[in-house]
Amino acid sequence: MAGRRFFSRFQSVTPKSGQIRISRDVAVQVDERTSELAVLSDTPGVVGEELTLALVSNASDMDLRVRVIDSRPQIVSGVLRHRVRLQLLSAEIPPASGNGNRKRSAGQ
Amino acid sequence: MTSPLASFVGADVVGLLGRDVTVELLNISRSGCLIESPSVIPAGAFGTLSVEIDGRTYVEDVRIARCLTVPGAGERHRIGIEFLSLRRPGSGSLRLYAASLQGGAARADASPPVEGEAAAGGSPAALRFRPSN
Repeated sequence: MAGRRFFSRFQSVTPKSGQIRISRDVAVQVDERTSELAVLSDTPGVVGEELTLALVSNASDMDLRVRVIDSRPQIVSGVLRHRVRLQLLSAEIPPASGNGNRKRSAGQ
Repeated sequence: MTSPLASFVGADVVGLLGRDVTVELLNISRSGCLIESPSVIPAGAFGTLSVEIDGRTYVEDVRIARCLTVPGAGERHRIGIEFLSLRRPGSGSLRLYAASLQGGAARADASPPVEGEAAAGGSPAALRFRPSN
């Protein structure tokens, strides 16, 4: 590996536990009547998987915990995308938004 | 009953979908690290890695450089990660932590380690990591 690595590498004596949050940009669809939540994504969802969804608009922003209900391929402007329907588990207003840090359960 | 989503109906909304995966840190350098994951994380994906070391959580924005399945290990995947130098590293930065390991190793090269100290330098961090090729 000489010549490829610029910095020394250090091996953990015992593996350290951690977490990685993989983020991807999605188009969000909120149904006006039912407030049902769906996103259009480049990758399919896994039914039952719990995810986080950060919603940001000019008016407000919110961090959601959601569960994938179903995932179907959909052609959008000639490009294959995936419509992932989500069940809302909980919603939280992030502290940085200046609106406090209230936590709300789904449907309230 | 008002839905928490009511304020987003009809608004221009940006959405960021996040998937949390529990991982183990195997090795680290100032530019990146190697982790092991129970699920595939595709190369090119972006995310935030947080690792607990000595009771403290270190965080870094990252890009997945490669993902290889460990042969014969079931659903275990070795994932090469590149740290993104998008912002000035704070005290909880993994990059900064890796730099402290490198600094410890350099000081150990300059002066022989005292008995009982780790080969990488003798700092508490050096007791948890050893230089690797």
